Amino acid sequence: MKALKKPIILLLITTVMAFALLFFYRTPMDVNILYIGGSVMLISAITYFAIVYFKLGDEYLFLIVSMLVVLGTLMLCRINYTYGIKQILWYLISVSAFYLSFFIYKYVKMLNKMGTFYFILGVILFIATLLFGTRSGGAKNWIRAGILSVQPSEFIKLLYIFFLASYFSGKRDKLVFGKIKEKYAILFCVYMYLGFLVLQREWGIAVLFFVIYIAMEYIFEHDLMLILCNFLLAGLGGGVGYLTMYHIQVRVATWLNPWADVSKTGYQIAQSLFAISSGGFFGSGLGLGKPEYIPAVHTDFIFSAICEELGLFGGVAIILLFFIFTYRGAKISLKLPEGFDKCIAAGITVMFGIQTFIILGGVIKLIPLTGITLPFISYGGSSLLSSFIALGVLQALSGREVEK
Amino acid sequence: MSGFYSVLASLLKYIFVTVIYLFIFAIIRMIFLDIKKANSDKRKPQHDTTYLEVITNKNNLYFDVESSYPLTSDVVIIGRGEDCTISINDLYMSNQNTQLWFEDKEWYIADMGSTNGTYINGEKMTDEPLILDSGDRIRIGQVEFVIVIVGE
Repeated sequence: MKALKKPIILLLITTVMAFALLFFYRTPMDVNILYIGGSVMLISAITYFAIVYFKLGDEYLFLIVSMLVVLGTLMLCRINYTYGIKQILWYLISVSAFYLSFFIYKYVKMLNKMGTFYFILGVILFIATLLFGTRSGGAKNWIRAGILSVQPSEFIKLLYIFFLASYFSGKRDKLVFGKIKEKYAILFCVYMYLGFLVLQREWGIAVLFFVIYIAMEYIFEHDLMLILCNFLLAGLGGGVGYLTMYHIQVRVATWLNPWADVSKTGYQIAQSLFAISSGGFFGSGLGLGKPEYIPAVHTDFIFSAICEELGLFGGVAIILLFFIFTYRGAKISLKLPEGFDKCIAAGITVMFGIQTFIILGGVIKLIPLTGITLPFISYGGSSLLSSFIALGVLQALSGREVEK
Repeated sequence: MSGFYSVLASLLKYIFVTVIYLFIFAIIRMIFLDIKKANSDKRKPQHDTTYLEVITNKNNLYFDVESSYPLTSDVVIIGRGEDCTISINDLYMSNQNTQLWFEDKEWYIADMGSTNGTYINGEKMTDEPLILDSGDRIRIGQVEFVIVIVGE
């Protein structure tokens, strides 16, 4: 019984059960799924023991994320086997990216002096998306190169946090171009990013960027007047957007009442609500529900599928996992001394927290739905990769506090 | 879907959810133990050098102060400037407000010509340096310290 108190053992039990179920679910039975499950298990275990043994910092972050990834890949394999396998391959790549970003952040010392570089790289990526991007589901956010398709906004997200952090940790009384206060220059940069996102119709990520800025402004500068002005400005922008753009009106209308046009615009959210409600407390059991009726169930609406097949308890478990994850992030940030590291930790934590809130709120009809991925769970290589890079940075930051 | 699988999946869903919750519980428990340990470490601060203890209620201050500052070097400058040994972002402090130094086994204190001065046990200091005794109250800006002299 004592073993059951160790989270890593429980994680391994979950992985074994998940892939055993998948093995029996697939007809004809495919032995490969057991090998894949075994390798996922091995990677989680090795990384966990490496973190504990070499004292690489917080040991819970990776555990929580591994649990989320196992639940996510389980659901994906069940919804669409090809996507699931692809996601597991991306997971293997992402874990290497996790190690890479961990060591880069730990040993490269000049990351805090490259604010302008992050900003310009972000702008270049935005322009590249606008020029070479392809449209998918209303948003022009993909760059396809051969078999590989990348979603640059996932990586701009990280650049944006690094950019904001290098500003908030630097001396803030500098003047740009001789007369503009740096505070307002940053504001201009933030709104430029938001403008690009609106051009790509990435409303979810635009909201995410805005909230990250507000949160960091509130934590590190605490200029309440500026925050108020920002809210007014954003409210104005949102209002103008609502009045002029049809697809935002549709989004708000389906949020207020999806049943009014349930066969067309309200279809997705209605199916999501049906799925969640049909799950009940313990769900229908894996493979026994019908989550494939929801459009985009493998990306944005994966939470509804989890709720249907693993039940309300499964869904709440996901929320709780994100909850502890955000708590750990906030704790790491609080313990760090003032400076770049603290800003990065706060930014990444806010990013994960708000992103989870935006999409979960969207699929349960709490807030208007905006297409954004659920970190670590939704299908998508770019999303998984960028989340793991951020996790690597957070891991390196939690190590700093141990060193002291 | 085969009947065998349906039974298996329906049974396993309960175990599955239970294991996930045990996992969450185990993590919360470990985090809780962590915090408990960290708090019990914090309760007994170790001081083997002379230190300044802040006695002003920190909740009334709009800037950050530590609960105590160990005096590790022989010359300590207190002020608002970032290059001070003890830098406190209090607007009522001058950039270099007060100097403390260790000489002939005594701690001396001198005001560095600050705008708002330095108060020892409630009295404003003159330009003359003073010798500090353990337990003297020093007020600089809005912050009041007590000096605790350890050792000789």
